[in-house]
Amino acid sequence: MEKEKTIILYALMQYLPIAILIAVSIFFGILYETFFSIANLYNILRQASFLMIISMGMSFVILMGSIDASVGAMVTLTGAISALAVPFMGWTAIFPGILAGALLGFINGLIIVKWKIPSFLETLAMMSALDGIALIVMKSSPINIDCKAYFNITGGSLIGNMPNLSLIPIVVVLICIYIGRRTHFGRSIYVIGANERVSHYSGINVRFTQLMAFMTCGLLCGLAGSLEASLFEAACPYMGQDLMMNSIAAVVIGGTQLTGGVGGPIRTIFGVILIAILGSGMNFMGLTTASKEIATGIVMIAAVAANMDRSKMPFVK
Amino acid sequence: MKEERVELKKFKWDINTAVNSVPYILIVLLIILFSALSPAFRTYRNMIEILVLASIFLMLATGETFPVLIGSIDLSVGSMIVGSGIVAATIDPSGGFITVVLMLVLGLLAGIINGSITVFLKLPSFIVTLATSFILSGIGIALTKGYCIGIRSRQFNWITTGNLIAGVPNVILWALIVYFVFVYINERTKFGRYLFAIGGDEDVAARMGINVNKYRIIAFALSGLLTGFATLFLSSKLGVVSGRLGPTYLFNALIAVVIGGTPLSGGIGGVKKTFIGVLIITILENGMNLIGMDIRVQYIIKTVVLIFAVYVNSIPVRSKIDFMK
Repeated sequence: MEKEKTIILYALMQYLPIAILIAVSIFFGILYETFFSIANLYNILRQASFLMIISMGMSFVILMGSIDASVGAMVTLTGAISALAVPFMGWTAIFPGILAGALLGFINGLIIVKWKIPSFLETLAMMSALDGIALIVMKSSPINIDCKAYFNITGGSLIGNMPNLSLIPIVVVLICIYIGRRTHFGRSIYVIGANERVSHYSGINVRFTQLMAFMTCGLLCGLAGSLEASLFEAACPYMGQDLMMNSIAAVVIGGTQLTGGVGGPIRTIFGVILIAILGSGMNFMGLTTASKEIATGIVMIAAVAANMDRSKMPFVK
Repeated sequence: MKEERVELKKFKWDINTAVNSVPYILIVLLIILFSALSPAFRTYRNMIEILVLASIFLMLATGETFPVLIGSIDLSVGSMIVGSGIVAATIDPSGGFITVVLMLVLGLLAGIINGSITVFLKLPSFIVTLATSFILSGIGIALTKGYCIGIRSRQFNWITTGNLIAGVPNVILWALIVYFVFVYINERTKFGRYLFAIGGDEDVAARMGINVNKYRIIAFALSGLLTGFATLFLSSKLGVVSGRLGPTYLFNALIAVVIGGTPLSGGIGGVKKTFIGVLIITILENGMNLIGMDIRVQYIIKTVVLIFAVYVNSIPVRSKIDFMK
């Protein structure tokens, strides 16, 4: 009887994120009639797009058992780099941004892997440094972009009526799901998260995989940064600041555990949608930025607490 | 029976002593460097200012040392200054006895909450304190919309800038007293020694019968309490309670703890070592300000220093880590 109960409970827990998603949607839908209007749904989608791209990268990092706190700063800096490149490169300015992101992620990974600095500390420090560099590059004020073609990256429509901004995250998500499930790299990430030593003994090149995972996260942040610059038609200081907490929360709420090894991009999708809906709902409720910060903090604690795999951690630091 | 001759203990220059002496070498270098680069640095008045700033950071860093010693971390210290300071000032803006007590008590309370959430919900401390830092700064902003709350009270200001001993600002005295109290706690009480044990190997400590959970909560509580002292001294010095702080204070505290000689994995170092770390970071920041270095560049330099310090200080405990997550 006990065993049956545990099995049922475990199966239920799998669907918890979706259930919460539906519950929250219904909650806000009843509270505010315009919540499910087309305009608001578009809004939510727009917010969710950047978060989705970044959270995919964050999923891989968290799956390994690490964490990347510098994603927000990476977005800001790569957005600035893209903005600076626009006058010279037109719409292809998106590529320097992506490359810069990959480079930053690579540096992150290098320091963590080579010097064995704990990932949260290194990325926290990197966040500060990158914000500083971004401020210098932007001369402390937003960089305005003036190039139609660049705006079209997010504004235009390659396929029918769907704005590119919604199309790109879908492509990214599909690619990431494929990587996670069907490539050696992706499977290695799962194993490293589950047990580093065992994965090492199994012949997986742990350090290289960690390096690549951080680089991927950086690359996706670079993409998100360039896209944000494209959408907002400018690159602003601290542009990506909220994204860090929100992406961690999204990944964790979705069901990927901080200890790693369980979860993945598919779970993260729900987390992102939930966070986006929550964000929109909080706007409707008229909460100030401060209250939203508080709420995000509480949500994150609750999400991590609910999702932790206690058995794997005999003691918690 | 052969008599054994007792040999004089020879001074061994091994990796441990090398790492331990780095802070002292660094301080000498920094003082020489900044004295050469900036005439303003060399003044008596600046030295006093450094000591005053160092006193504030000393409180912060000493507080941070306790969680780090245990292997955890407290990322909320910076926001705690804002959060608890603002709440204290909102409840009693007069700057009197109540304000003082409130700042300390609220810090202690925040620390206890940090520790409790970490222990009872079994969450990694960096996530908990990261979230708490957002919550605390959110509270601070919600109450003041980012503005500072002024405390206009002679007595309150006297706490830091008054002169019980001529020429020496009070805060230095208070800070030293508090510091030595906590050095004593850390080195000579059962509680303090247990912290070293838990940091060294938590599993073993738990099996030895040490109540790890209890001491963890106490460590975070002390971190909060000492941050409360820092809040008190800072707002007393400035005359206002800051509504928004950058990550500077957290960074400085972490750098001080790590450079001082307590690696992030904990178990060695301790409050006694943090003193030199505080001096280093205060001199570094003061010097960088006086030579007019752009604050954004300062952030970058501090980041490099932090990573470098973590790296150098993890050398003695390298063997414990196979792969860093």
